[in-house]
Amino acid sequence: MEIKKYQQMMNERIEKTVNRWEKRETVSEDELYRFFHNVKGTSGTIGMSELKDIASHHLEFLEEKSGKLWTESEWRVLLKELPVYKSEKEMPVTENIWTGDLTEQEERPFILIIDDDVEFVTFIKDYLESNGFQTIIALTGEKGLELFYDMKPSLIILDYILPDIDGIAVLKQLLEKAQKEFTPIVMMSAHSSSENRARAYEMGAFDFIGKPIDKNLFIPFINNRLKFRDRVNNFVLQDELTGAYNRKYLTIELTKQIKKLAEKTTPAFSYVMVDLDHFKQVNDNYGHLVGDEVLKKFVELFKRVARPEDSICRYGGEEFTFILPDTTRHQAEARVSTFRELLSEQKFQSESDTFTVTFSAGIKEVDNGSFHPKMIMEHADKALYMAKDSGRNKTIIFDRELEKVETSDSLTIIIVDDDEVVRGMLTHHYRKKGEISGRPIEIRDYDNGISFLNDKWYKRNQQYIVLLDGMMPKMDGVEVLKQLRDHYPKKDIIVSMLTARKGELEVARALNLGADDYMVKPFNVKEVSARIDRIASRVLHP
Amino acid sequence: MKKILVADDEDILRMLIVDTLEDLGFEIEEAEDGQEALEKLEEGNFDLAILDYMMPEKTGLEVIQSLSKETKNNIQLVMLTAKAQEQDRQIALNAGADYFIAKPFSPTELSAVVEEILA
Repeated sequence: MEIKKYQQMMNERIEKTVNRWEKRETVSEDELYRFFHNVKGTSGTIGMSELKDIASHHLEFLEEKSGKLWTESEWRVLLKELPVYKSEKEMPVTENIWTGDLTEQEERPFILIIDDDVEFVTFIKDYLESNGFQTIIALTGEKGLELFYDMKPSLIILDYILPDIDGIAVLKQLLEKAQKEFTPIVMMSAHSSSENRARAYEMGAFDFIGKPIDKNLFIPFINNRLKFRDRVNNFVLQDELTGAYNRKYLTIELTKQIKKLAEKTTPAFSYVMVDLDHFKQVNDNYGHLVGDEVLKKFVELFKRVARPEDSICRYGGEEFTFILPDTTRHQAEARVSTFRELLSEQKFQSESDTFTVTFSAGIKEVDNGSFHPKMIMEHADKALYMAKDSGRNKTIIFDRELEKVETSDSLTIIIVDDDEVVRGMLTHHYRKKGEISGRPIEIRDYDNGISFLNDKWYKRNQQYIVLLDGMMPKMDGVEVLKQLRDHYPKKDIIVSMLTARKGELEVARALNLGADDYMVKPFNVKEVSARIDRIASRVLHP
Repeated sequence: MKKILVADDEDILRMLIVDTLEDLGFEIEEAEDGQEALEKLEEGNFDLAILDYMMPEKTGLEVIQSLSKETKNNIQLVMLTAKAQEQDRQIALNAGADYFIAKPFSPTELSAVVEEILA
């Protein structure tokens, strides 16, 4: 049978639909939904898999019976990607989003690029991203170190010579840290003398690559190193820095304890979620090295009061989990309190200061084997949140009442872009998504920088992610950024610039003025979403 | 000759199914929505019906639910579904569907299933 015949019919169908819609003011979302639903159902069967993927992607963002009406420039964005349509007609809107790249971005490895050469950085970022990697860039070693701590990249690409070279200490710290976490560091330089290469290896680089890079080799090379890292991490059960167990072990141990309960060999165990209070301030005020010392000591002290069967796992940055077998919640509370006392007596030294640290804890007692690990974690997390919310340095036990408590402060995403389509798409996406890492999202959007700067959106101790278009009438994005950085505290506001291709100069200026990230248009919503999830993880642990 | 009703509002897919099954030598009738499917099934002597889950007028599920007992006993019901959810399948199974084919399917897969059922 000639399958081409049906493919041809499908293409004609799309053409016809477009022609019909063009004659109208608006198209309802319901129609769009049904159109893509039918396309999806049929295209896979007649061997048009690309079309099927695009249709199912769009369906995720469309709602049946939503009542929303789409204008021509809006629905054209969706139609433009369809293979048949793409080749023939140009979209009438000026800036386009969504390039139809549909690979799942959340899973993509994350690469940190540290290099002061803006031209090279933008080139390599572009190249890596077009090959399916996520990247984040830093123009200085200092910034690179900060991003390394905050964002946990899978691989680091590092310029051999960085501008703050008296920050050789920074470099050393970065390299040591990366080695401990089995994160491959690739050094790059235009000066690939054997002397330089030797120095790089001595410093702890995994690899040294000369600039300009060989495009045929680069991606296979990166994949090779990432694969190696994955494999290593699969074997590792301990956190290298603190000696606590890691998350992988946590899952194993938790499953084991639940199984023991199910077999009724033990009456209950307690799962304690712990977070150091204001740890970011420790890092900011005294440096990451001192911060690392605190984490190490924290684990050491816990081990001092722990029984052999207890375990401590590093859950994330400054978050830990205790698993206490054969322990009721009240026993757990008492033991946490003993540990709290011990920690409060511990004095930490920085160059200029002596300080102490405190923590907040949430306890979940598990007394039957029917609990799902996720549920246990969520309950403990809720209790921990309450402990933080009610003043920190305390322990809260999870009970039924807490279940009803609305956790978490919101995270505000602000979109500043004169392009209505971009604003519409992103707003729509985030309304639907509703939360990031359990934090409810609030969305604001502005069609120009001046009304954004003049509006009273800022509240202290709230977290913001600002997506800022680089090219806007009235005041361009870079100027808006400058004003933003001059007038608002930097720490709670993450800025990502949305920029047109070939805007290298603009990118350089933006990064120098304190942008945290940038995304190149055209982009698709999923990609933006994945990036923002990642970026959000930086501000979500204050 | 065995007689099959193909009910799907999506005309390209319906034509493809019809062509595929006609090539196998079956006698085919078509329906463009659930109501038409129901009427045809009650009138004609079909051996098998291929019903899309999502159809206007009546869904595939509603068609099955509305069939008379007698018709239901004499016919094999195949449901095409994009909703692969267990729940939908369970409901349809309880209502009397005999087989499921998840969209997208290949024409070969469809032929195989139909031949198997009517063998």
